Amino acid sequence: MRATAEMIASGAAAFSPASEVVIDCDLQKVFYGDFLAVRDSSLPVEKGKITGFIGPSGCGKSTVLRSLNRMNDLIPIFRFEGMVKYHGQDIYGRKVDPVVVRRYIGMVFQQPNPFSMSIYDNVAFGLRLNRFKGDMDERVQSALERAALWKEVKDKLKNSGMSLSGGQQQRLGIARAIATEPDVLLMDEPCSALDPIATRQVEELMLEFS
Amino acid sequence: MSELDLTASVPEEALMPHLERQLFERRAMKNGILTALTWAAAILGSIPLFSVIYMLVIQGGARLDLEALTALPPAGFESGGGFGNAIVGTLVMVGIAALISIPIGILAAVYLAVLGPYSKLAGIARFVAKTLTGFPSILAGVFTYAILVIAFGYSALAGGVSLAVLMLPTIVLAAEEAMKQVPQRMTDTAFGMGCTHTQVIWKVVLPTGLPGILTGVMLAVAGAAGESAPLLFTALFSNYYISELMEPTASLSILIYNFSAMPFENQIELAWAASLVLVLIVLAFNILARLVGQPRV
Repeated sequence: MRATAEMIASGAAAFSPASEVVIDCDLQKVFYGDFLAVRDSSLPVEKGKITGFIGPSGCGKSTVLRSLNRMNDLIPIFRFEGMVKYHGQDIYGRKVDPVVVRRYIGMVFQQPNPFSMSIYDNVAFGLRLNRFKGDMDERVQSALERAALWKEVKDKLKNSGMSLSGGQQQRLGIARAIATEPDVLLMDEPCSALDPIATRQVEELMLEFS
Repeated sequence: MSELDLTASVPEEALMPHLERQLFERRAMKNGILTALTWAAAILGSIPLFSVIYMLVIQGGARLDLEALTALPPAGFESGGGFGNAIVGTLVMVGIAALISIPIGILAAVYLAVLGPYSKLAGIARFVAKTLTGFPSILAGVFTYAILVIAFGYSALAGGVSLAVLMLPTIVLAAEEAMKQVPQRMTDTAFGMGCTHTQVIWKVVLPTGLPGILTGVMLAVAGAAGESAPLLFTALFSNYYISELMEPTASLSILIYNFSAMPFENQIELAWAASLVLVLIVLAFNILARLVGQPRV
């Protein structure tokens, strides 16, 4: 368990629920302006497995991860050479909408960052984006349960997400990301801001999903 | 180790660290003097507002009654009367200015803060807005005179437009600042969940930056309510209640300007009372700005 904690806390992890390759990538060159951030990196991400990256800080873990769901497109000086295939489709293809890519390949970030709205609305956020028509209450509850947060917040769903502790906020972030049931979840050092107990809860969660 | 010997003699006093406050030590004195100076400056800075309010309450409070708030301005030797039309006129023109400047200002700020913060256009717009904040208000009046009054005559609409010109830069800059305060990790998260730019702006940036945006809006409104110079060129004045937007319209600031220079006691008293009402309106918007600007958890 200890070793796992080290590995995930110092690396970034990608996982997908349900053993075929979901994401196959070959990053030849990733630039931020003139700075070559990552070169010649390739890795397959398999279905139902947790894939972790480890390395010293500043080596490009986050850059690789952010290239997998086109989050880097938001940085104007970002340049990319190579390919990322998701179920065989090139996500950097000319006709691909990065917004849609991100709906299939979700992301949880390093810092806990609830939106300034209620706990319920935080989890429902992604569902509403996708114009989810089913039973919202049930989906919110199940996402919170899977993120091991339901018991702690079930009586204060109307409270602001900001009122939770750091560890709870991070699990809220995970609940929010899994509520839409993305195919792949990218997690960028999700436990770096958490204490050991919360870290363990997040890790157990990841094991459960895989 | 043996236990601590409590009966051991106390070390010599000279060797003890000296912890008591020494008022006349060099650094302590410097610190004391500077603190006193900042206190004095803070008090000095508050004197103008409080003395103005004090004077207005003394001079204008006596005439502040229902008649003053509702009646029309009196003519030369008349007694009584009020400035109800000027209060309505000020509120209408500030309202028109708000309707024009708030949507344009916030949309411009969205562009500056979120969509194209580093673009050339953003750089130019930001520079223009900053220059306009120091723009002499009378020039806003002259500008509106040239584009509207010459063609359509003096009107409440022209008054509102000239006030909008003055409010716009304040709103743009305050709203941009408020939206920039929204942490990037929050917008990143929203993008990471598959939001389009519009959704990120609408669901995350605007709601999160709302208190700051409203503060800027309220301050701009408060500033516009007290303006007189631009209205001289655009709305002029009227002795009657406003009945349509395209006619000369009364405002508190112009009424104060007119009445304070008259040789009649009655008008001068009303000018004081109108000043008090104007200050109270401005103060109310400022207090509102503080209330809405408070961070909510």
